[in-house]
Amino acid sequence: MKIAVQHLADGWTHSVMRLMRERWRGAAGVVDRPTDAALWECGDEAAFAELYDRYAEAVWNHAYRLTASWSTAEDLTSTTFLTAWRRRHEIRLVHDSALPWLFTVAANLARSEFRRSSRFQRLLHRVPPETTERDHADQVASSVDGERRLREVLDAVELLPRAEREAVELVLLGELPIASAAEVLGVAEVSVRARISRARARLRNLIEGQS
Amino acid sequence: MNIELPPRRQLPPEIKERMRPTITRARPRGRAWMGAAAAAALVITGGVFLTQSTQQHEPAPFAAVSADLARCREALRDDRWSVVNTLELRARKVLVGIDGRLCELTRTRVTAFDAAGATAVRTPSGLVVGRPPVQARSMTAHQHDPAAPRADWSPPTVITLDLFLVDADPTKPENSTLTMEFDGHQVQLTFGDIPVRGTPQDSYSNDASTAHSANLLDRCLDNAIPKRAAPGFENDWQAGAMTGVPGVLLARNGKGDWGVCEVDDAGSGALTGTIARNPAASGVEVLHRGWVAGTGTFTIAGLAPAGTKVELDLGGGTVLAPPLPITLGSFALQHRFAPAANPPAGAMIKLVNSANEVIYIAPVA
Repeated sequence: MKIAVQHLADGWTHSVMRLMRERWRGAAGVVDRPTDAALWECGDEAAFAELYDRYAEAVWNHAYRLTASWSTAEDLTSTTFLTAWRRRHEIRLVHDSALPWLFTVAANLARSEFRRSSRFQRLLHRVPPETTERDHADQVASSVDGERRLREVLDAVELLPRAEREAVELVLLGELPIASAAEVLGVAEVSVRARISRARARLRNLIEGQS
Repeated sequence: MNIELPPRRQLPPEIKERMRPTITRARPRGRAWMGAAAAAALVITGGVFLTQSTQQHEPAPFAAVSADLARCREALRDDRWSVVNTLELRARKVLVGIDGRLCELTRTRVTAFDAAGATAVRTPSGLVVGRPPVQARSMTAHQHDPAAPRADWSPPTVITLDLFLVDADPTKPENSTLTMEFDGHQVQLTFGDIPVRGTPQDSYSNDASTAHSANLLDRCLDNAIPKRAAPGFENDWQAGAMTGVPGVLLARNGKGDWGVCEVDDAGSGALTGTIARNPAASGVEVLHRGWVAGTGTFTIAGLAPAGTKVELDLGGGTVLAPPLPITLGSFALQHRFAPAANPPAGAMIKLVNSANEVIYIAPVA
């Protein structure tokens, strides 16, 4: 299966993303729910629980795309929200959505806590917190193949310069709009587009080199 | 360049609840920890306890949190350093800074360190600090030295949402192993693979003088931490009688156990001999007795009833009667013979009660 993710050009992705975006982008267009900013300002557990309910699925899927492992994605998602809670005074809402910032937290954690290769970290993070979801038998083969391909992509992304890697993680892996990525990264949209363009070229060479 | 991405999945409810951070749900019954919300809310006041201990230990032996914060700030040379969490284990505290830096406090030392680049580090005192697997709820630890398997032991541990502490024995060799078990899942490490971080600095919470009895006792207790004395030994101690420095300090805990600390020139020693004592009917129990040949210094310390006097009978009718203060029912006497040499043959030490009865007699040599 080959899914083209070029700014949500693919029909399947586009339709799914359109449905999910309405939920992910927070309360900007929803009148009967408090905005992300309002929830964040509350700063209490109930408000944070609401934010978790809003974005858990999005962060979980993004975490998988950052790690190529569903069990690690669980750890990463949980840790992302814990970290977000601890660092909530640092949050940067983008168009009243906490999601871009949560993606950034997840990406930083993935690099610092889940992908580093020190022996101890490998040992420690090999410990599953609880039982992980198992794929159905008929899904195992395609799942393994998909994870292998995703790992190849992630290995290549890891080799990108930091600025390009951050843009790729948000725009290509996270499928955030260029404008949101630019705001959370604190750069102009044109810079993000340039980074993505350069990254695509590098990734092509890297992935073709791998194969 | 098209990137192959796996399709997104719908998040199953059970996984969603499994991942849900503890701070956003009701805490399990019987758990000792407080929510991170409370921890964060009290940052300004300097931190709160957020611990779930896997073994019983005594109440906090330390002074107010503000004093801890001040000591850490001094060690870090950062007056604005803020704390988000405080963990405590066996007479030690670890303050967790909002910037990720850590500060280990004992009674007389402070060690500022960080865990950057590692998931776990150890301090020179043997405290292993690390990040547990996500939402791990319990842990145990075990140290094994292949060269001395009989000396294996299970150090006390504390685990929270963010950190775990293991009171590891720092004297174990680098090739020994530390096995940690999180919710039934084991992780075994070679002790030497855990990086050592931080340099302890002296930081006395009492009088600035290192010869102050409270400071001497604190240092003795600190130095006893790696010696793995009985649980609870570290708390509730009071300084009893002491000689000068170098010399001997006696101390008593709330259970009536007595300890002896031999203090060196630098005012440092380790409390030992924490055994419950049952003084004889006379009320005298000698806990320490020493003679440093060539220096002319004789030391004796122990338990004695109030009003006890001491006599040093040097023979030939010469009897010295140095003062013998009784503190908490204990005495400590140090006598330097002049000139510095061995005492006269047959010299005796006597303890005499208020009725002028000799209740203890022994040769000095």
